[in-house]
Amino acid sequence: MAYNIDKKCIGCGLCVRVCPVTAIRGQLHAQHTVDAAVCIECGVCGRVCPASAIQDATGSTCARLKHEDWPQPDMDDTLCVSCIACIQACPVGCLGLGRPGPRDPHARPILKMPDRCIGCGFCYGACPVGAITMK
Amino acid sequence: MKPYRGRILWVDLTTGTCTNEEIAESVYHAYLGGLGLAVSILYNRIPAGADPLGPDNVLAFVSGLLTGSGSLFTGRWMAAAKSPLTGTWGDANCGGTLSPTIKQCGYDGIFVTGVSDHPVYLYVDSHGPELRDATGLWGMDTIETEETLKKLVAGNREPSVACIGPAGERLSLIAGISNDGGRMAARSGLGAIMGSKMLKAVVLSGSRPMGSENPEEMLRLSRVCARHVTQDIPLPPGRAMPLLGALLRHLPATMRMDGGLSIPMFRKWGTCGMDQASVEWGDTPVRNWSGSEKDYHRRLSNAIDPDRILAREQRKYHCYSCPLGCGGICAWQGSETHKPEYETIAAFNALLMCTDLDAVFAINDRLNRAGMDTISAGGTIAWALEAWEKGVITSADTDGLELHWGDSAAALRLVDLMIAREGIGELLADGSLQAARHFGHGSESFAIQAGGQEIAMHDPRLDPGYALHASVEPTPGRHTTGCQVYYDMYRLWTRVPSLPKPRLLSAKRSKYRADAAQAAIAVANSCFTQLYNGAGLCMFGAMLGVDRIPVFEWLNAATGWHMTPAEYMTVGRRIQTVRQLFNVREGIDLRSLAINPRAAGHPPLLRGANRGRSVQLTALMRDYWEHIGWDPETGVPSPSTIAELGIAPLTDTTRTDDTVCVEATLETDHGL
Repeated sequence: MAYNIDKKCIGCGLCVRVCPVTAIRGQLHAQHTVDAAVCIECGVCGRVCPASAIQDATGSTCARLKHEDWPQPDMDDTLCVSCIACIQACPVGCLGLGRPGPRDPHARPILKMPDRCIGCGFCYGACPVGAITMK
Repeated sequence: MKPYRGRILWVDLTTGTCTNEEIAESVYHAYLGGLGLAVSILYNRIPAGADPLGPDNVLAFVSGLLTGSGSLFTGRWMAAAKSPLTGTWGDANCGGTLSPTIKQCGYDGIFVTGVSDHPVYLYVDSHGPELRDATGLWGMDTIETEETLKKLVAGNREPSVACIGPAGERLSLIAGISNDGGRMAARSGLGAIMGSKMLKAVVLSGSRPMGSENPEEMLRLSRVCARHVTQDIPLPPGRAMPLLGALLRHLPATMRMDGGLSIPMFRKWGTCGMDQASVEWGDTPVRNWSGSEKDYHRRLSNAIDPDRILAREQRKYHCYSCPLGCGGICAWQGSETHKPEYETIAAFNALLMCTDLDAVFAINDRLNRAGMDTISAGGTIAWALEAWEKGVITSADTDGLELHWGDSAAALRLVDLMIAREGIGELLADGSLQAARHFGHGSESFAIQAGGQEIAMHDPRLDPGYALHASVEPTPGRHTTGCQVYYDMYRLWTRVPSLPKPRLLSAKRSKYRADAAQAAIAVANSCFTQLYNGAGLCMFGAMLGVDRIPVFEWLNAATGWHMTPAEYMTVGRRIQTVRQLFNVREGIDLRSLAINPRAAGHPPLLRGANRGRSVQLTALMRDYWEHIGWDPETGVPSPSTIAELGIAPLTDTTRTDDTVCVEATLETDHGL
């Protein structure tokens, strides 16, 4: 299953610009389409759509959210085991390793580029020890 | 969500085409993923008698079944093919980030066949696979290649790259495949296969999410497992490690080893923490397996005090999904390099009687950049030093270079010659057995290898399990496939009650007995090793013991299956048996894969930790073959075992979704 764009699409192209895997195609002012074979279901297209024209994989219409309201990962360093599963899962490369501490040489992941985060929650889903919450 | 994709990618370099193949659910039940998936495919698809460096050989890059499932320690990827070094089934195993990226591209494995007529690299992202010209990359070392490709394909996220260096390009039979800045799938000479296929690199940039059937249970299991790894246990300074080794040497009895104790050492120092202790204990070979700690005494081994190595570490390196972080990134000549591992340090110090830590860092960096196996390179150079000492090699063969024990500069020069395939390096680049056959004069007797592959730096005279596994393993000469200490650590009896539980203390001489109990634990080691290679589990994680690392429980939670640990062990036995059948089909005399007698204590050492010890290798091999259900005299799997394991037919696959690869030429402004 993948995301879908319906007839309410106004062809503004916002979704094309934010899609991290270039799964969306369409002409300006015309209905866009999602390539189901490419879509990774990150949901960012739905969060930017001004026309409520995008449905997720279950068929529910996605709600538009202001960028400042997009959830972002918050790492609990007391639980984190530095396994980098979150960094690997991130489709936009906004996570990276912080600096190791003077008493702990195991660097922890941090949100290095918050402006780039699309709030997909892939890092949250990938963390084996539940050290990430989306806030 | 299943933890596997149910799909593999075929890349035919001769025709430049890519094809998807759907894999039936039953294949995963029978073989898991990783090496199990690879052997289930390759046994059918590599024609008998295929030239390992020809178009018919198939090179697989596979991801473990548990990779990306929310489990820990499960970021291993494996390469597999017919080995050009041994002519047998070949595989190699590595960490880093490649394993999850294979799945993020939508596949459980990538299988490469054919031969390209010019250098290419394979690029895969969410849109699919593409073959691209790599002429400009040919000749670059592994680090340069990876850095160049990462700049070239820069997108939202950094890709994972597996590539070869000059060693693989020049078809060195001890070439490996590098990823993540010099992590190496080093063994079996698989880098030479990429070189023969003109495949410089595999570049993966997928972003698909991964998961499991029961994420809540995976989280619960992983949290418990993580606690066993991350607790900080105070350890003595590095200079105390040789004392620990000496203590173990002097004890009259042998203890059942608990991997929970070695994990803190790996966490603090990495594998190099064991180098000096292992010399004292008798685990590390000295002077091409003819010496002991009496020769490489503490004043010499102080060069490899683990604290001296740790002082150069800038930060810890974690592979994907690893809570341990045994790797390290060190500053080196204005750049960064991976911290040398136990094997590399042992191979270029005690084995050669050297004491120069700077030289080890230099050699490690050069071999990583060249994409050459440090174990085989060290073993081959040890053979060369002994050949020089015995007059088999003279200065006429070395263009005047003198080869003396303890001369790190000479070892470094030989490494450079091997990488460049110049002078005597042309011969040494294919390993010690090939060189010994060329020079003759009985020099095969001190080429310490099994089936043509140099054995790793763990002495079978201390743990006879190493001799047995290196000899009966379908990829001969390997140390990670089993030994008696591993069995202690894996603690399989806590989940498979039919397996024997070793005593807490036992007489040292009992280790050298060839009996049914030894056969039972060796077969259990093999089955478990293949099981965790199917799962993509790291051996160091497995050393925690299965009551602390819940691999059986993870497998069930991730897949939704309800298999028992004993049933999973049968999967491991099935994988091991098909690997052996591959060798049978190749017409290999399986008895000929036994390790060099010297390493098994024939003749025994006259002094040192292992003095007077000999391994009853023939009896151990016979017992192992019988216990696993193979012919005890020949090692050929019996028809009843093949039937019991349901091995034929091996795969139930259907090719679908043919996709033509588009080859694009790199733009010239990239300087390629």
